[in-house]
Amino acid sequence: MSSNPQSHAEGRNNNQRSASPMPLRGASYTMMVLSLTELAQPDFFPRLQAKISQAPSFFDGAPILLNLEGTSGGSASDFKELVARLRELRLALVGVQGGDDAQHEAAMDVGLAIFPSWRAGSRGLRDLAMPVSGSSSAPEPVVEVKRPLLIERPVRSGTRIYAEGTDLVVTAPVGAGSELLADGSIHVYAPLRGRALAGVSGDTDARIFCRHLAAELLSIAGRHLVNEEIADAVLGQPVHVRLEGDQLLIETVD
Amino acid sequence: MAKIIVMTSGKGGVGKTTSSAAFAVGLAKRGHRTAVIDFDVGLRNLDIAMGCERRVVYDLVNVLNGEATLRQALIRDKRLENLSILAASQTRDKDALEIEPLGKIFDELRKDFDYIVCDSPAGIEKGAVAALYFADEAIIVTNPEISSVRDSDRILGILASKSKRAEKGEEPVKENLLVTRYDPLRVEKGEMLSVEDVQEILSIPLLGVIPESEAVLRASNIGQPVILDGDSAPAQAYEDAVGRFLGETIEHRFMRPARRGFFARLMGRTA
Ligand SMILES: Nc1ncnc2c1ncn2[C@@H]1O[C@H](COP(=O)(O)OP(=O)(O)O)[C@@H](O)[C@H]1O
Ligand SMILES: [Mg+2]
Repeated sequence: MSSNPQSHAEGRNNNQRSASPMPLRGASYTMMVLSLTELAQPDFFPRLQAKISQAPSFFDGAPILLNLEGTSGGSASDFKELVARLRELRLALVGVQGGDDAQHEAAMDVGLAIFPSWRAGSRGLRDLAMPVSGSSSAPEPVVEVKRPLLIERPVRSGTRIYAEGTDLVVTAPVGAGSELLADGSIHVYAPLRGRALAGVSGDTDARIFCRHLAAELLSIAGRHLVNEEIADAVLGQPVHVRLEGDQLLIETVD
Repeated sequence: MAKIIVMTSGKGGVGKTTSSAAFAVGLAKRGHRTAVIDFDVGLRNLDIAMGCERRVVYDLVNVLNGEATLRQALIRDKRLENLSILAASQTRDKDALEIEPLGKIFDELRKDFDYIVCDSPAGIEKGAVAALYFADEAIIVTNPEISSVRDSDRILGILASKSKRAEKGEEPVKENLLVTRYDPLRVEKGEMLSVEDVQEILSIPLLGVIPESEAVLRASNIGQPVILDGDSAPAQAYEDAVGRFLGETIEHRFMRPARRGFFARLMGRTA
């Protein structure tokens, strides 16, 4: 097995034959958003401080996006000062969204990124709910979660399924001679007899789970094992596969 | 409403033609107007299995090309008046099978028949796709061995993606598993997969198990579908399968080794 299974996911770039693959990769994250109108309230910083102290580890070093919608003005030095004030609270302002060209110029001058705005009427912002000690309210992501790709019919030999930018969840058997690819993790609630390649865009935290391991190949972020290399003790078992360093680690689960 | 059935497998030599002939006869015997069509262009043998190879004038490709009408090409079975056969051409190749004209033939057949059984060629190319494209139900013919099961899985994938029902987003083609050439003794010795193994891998409903039997070869040598060989195990197994296909509840048989009687052993008969 010498070919790199990761190349499958890059098939879209095949027409640029001689070009070497771009060193840039995509990823999406959930981020907290502050709005400038809120920030302008006199008691904003004390309130923010109070909120952070309820769950310090949740906020520690968290990236923050500043929503400029409905505001105008602000110079580069204003943005610089804001970055510094947030840093004091161990929050990292990474960019702005909304606002006008002048605001964008000023933000760019101090190294902030310009994020696309929410479309009108979109489910954009929600009140941030965070884990609070002693409270039972579950954390709710601020940004819409990208749902996993859900496959509920058997994956037949000769079929290839790619979950782009997300996880792949399969609830029916995955046949020998089929191939599952995901930028995220792969979950198979049935026997896995085909090939399963998780983290195909390089995510080393991606994992593979299945009810019954009989895979032809397992791969996470390009590190792979062929069936022959899989220990007999885990074949036929429900397992959890992850990367530890450079090695695929297969553990049985109950 | 007429029903189109495809007998398919991916792999060759597993018993598609044998099963097509048996099903067509079984359905016709129960009074249904039935047509059976050979899609194995270039390797025709359904006509031989049906014992009408010496009466073929026109074939499927002739009808597709407008060189003959459907009425001219359909061969009436000599045993059952409500059964007709449409032979394949031996001299063309499978590229002759274009979907659009085929659709017209099926429209016409639907008017005159209750069941249309399509005997698919092996493979996953144009001929096999043409045979399954219009199907309402598929009978997946599988031998109890890994390569056959693998090919069946592949053809199930094609049914789910390339059939007309899949393309049009209609209710999927109904899938049925027919395990053929089953030898319970060899399964017991671990030389073959068990029905349970096959079913577990393919995860589709089991229509029947046809035992391996010399009766099949005997029948094909005299051009008589094996289902007409009343006492034989494969005839009974096919009868059961046809019954289940039509919705009857019939217990599965022939899955365990038969306890061979003293005489049978003496005579060296297998089934
Ligand atoms: N149940 C069976 N027992 C013994 N031989 C069989 C059985 N079913 C099929 N055969 C034999 O297997 C061979 C292939 O069968 P056929 O129906 O022509 O397969 P296909 O159409 O799938 O190529 C033939 O020689 C046939 O007689
Ligand atoms: Mg055949």
